Amino acid sequence: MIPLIGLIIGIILGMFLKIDIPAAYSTYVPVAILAALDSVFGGLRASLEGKFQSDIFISGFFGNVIIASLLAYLGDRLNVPIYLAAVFVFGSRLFNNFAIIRRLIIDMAKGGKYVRRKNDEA
Amino acid sequence: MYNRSSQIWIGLICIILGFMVSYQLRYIKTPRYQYTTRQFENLVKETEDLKKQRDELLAKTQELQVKIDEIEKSVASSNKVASQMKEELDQLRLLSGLTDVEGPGIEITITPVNDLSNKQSSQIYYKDLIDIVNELNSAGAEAISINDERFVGRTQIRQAGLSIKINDSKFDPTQPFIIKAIGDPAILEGAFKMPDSIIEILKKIGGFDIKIVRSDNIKILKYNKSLEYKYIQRK
Repeated sequence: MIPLIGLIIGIILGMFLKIDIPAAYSTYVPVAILAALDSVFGGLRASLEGKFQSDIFISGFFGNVIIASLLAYLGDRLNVPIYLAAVFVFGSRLFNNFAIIRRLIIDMAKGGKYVRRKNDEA
Repeated sequence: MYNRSSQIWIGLICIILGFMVSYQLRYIKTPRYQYTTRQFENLVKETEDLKKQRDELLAKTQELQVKIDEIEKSVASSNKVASQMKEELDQLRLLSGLTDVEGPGIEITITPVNDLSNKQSSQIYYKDLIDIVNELNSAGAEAISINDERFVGRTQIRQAGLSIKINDSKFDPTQPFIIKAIGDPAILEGAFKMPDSIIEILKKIGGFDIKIVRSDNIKILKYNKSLEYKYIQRK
């Protein structure tokens, strides 16, 4: 519930706060969004698994965002679309995390305690 | 399993995520194209029609001009005063750029270079054209045309949306511009050989392929719009 409320607060903030990110940086925002999404899904998964550690989560989030933006920037400088690498990695991890979250939630809904299986992919 | 602190942390990050998402949505929302494809097609068709109409009208004016010339000639041949007036009229037409002229001069071709490696497309800025025309005039050019638009006293050179408007005709600033001038070729060319002349500055900025060609036979077309004066009166 709290993540949803946070998301809504963030959207409202973004709509009403007139913060202007310089136009030159606005190409990096989508990559940063992807990195942030990846972190949030990762965090949800960890919290469902009961392995959530706030320091790892926070550092992961900022680290991902910064590295993704830096990669995109470097790619722009070198004229190589490196940001695609970030898109692929974060995209596939997103789906992975989502698949695991789905299994966890379904298992919980069935009432059975989640038992960690060996081959827990997609 | 469902501990509160993890929820709060994720919630905090979600605030940042939501902020970025809504910021990005707002940024993208400004439409790149205001028209749908179909509207666009219609507009293209309309411009084609209008262009055709314009060409037809231009042909018509030329036809009528020929007729006027004939009438003037026939009047002039029958009367001495009229023939003198005709001569004067021709002289005035020549001076005000209403006749096609030719003579020695230079031709400047400015081609914006747009290869794929530099992302920012180079394009000609209207003030550069004004500077060049100004330079040509100060070097004693007697007739100037830009892309076959004769430069006369009432010629405007200005930005109009994405194009440059010269004599009410629009030109794409990413396309080559050909500036012709009649005058002493050496002096005209010399005006652009100085280290801080506009052409040298453009060369230094880069992104342009500039050629200056001297010629003994530069042809400059006449001013092809009608000169109508509504407000000025002879005193």
